[in-house]
Amino acid sequence: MKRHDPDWFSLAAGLLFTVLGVVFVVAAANGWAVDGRWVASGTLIALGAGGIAASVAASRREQRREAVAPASDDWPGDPFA
Amino acid sequence: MNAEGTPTTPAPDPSTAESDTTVLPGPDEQATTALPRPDAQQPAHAEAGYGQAPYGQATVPPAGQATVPPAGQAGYALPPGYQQPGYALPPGYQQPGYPPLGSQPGGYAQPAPNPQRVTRSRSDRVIGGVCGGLARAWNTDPTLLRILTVVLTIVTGGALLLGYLIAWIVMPEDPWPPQGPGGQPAAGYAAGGNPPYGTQGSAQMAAPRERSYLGWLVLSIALVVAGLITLFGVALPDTVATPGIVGGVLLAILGIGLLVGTWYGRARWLAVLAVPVALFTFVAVAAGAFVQSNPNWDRWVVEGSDGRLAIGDQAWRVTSADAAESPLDYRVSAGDAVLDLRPLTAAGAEAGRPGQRVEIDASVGVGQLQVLVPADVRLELEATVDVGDISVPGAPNVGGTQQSLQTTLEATTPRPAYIVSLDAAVGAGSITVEVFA
Repeated sequence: MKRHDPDWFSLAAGLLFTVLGVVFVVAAANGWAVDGRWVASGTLIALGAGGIAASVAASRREQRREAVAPASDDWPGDPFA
Repeated sequence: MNAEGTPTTPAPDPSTAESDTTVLPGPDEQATTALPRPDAQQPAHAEAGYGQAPYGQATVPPAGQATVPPAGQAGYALPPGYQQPGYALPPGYQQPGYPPLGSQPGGYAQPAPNPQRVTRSRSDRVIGGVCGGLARAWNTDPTLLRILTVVLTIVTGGALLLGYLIAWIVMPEDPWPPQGPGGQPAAGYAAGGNPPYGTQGSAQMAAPRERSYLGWLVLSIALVVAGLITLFGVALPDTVATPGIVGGVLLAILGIGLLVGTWYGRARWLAVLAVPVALFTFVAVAAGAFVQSNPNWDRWVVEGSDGRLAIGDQAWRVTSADAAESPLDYRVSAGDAVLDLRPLTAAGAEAGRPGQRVEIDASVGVGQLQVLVPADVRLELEATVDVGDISVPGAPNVGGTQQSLQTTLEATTPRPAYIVSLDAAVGAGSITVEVFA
């Protein structure tokens, strides 16, 4: 697998679910209750923030790409235009 | 290419003007053979290698009749294999929403469908292709849309699921599957998805993403680990293989896979899987915590004599014949129950054995337990309620969580017909004792 630009959504979701998994394992092993309000709000915030970050990063990548090679509405592009 | 990055132009040579060579005018001459432009209805010979008419309006000559300028025409030939900038579409790529060339009679493209029409995706679907189609129409990531759908379905208590079903019914399906040459899935669709979002409608098409097996690898590892933990739990019961621990480990492995996918490979779809796994694990952990905090939890899930969950209102009438089979056990998971002890009168008592002792266990998971006691029976009551109240004549009413009451109701007669030892337990509800003369 090649290294690519950071995927911020994967980062946010990965952190979220890794932490949740550890919390659930510890809670299940000790018979602790986990407050569902924290879980639900944390899940929504993490996934939402990850989506926002991924969207902003994708938008910036698109701007960089267009700055290097301006996009044209014509298809296919006219090489002599 | 020379050092400046411009294509080298060999001297005009009529012998190079063969049928597979595109001849272009020199840069200082008027073009005598125009390249096909999308805004002009030109023969789409230049797109012959792409197998489509890009705008659906070009008249296309039969395949193999690409127009070539006459030999000797002023111009220069591009070297074989040279590809014009701006034409660098992946092999077999097909613009979404347009029919493959040749799929229409005579090899001419029919007018394209309305590109604004939102359809369910055939190539990028998990259930009905609704999210895939909407993501294509909105030019966004279908994975994010699916995650949003799952989360909102949970948050709305399933209401969004109804919206999904309506969209499934209302939205038409793609009129044809995207195909490349030879009927193979077009590049960009081959990985089971729409073309990369953010590139549709742009001449600067991004190359198809490298297919990543990270997601499947992580999921496989997670399943194997979860299976091993479960197997370990079979060998050592009540140790580690609780559903909460298995779900938590599964969730953590999916999260680690997503973290790896931040920089290597692509595994965003694991998040779609992780959301319901997290919900299941939360419920499992909550249930485990409830069981540990309620030692009498089994009264919440009790089975009837037939081995099935006992649900519904119950009327337990205890006769002298039943009393002879003491101890007695009555249970119901959900529903109101009436424990009627009134048949236990002196007339029904065995001759010569007044004051016979009868032991009764009565459990109700969710509901009310009403105990009807005749006056000539002595009742030794031990009542517990996890959430609710207890009402007994001659004793103070108690209510709240984890309530219990021990009391004795003496018989009105000097020698009671029966002495009933009742262990009454209710999970959520109430216990009420009434005495009848």
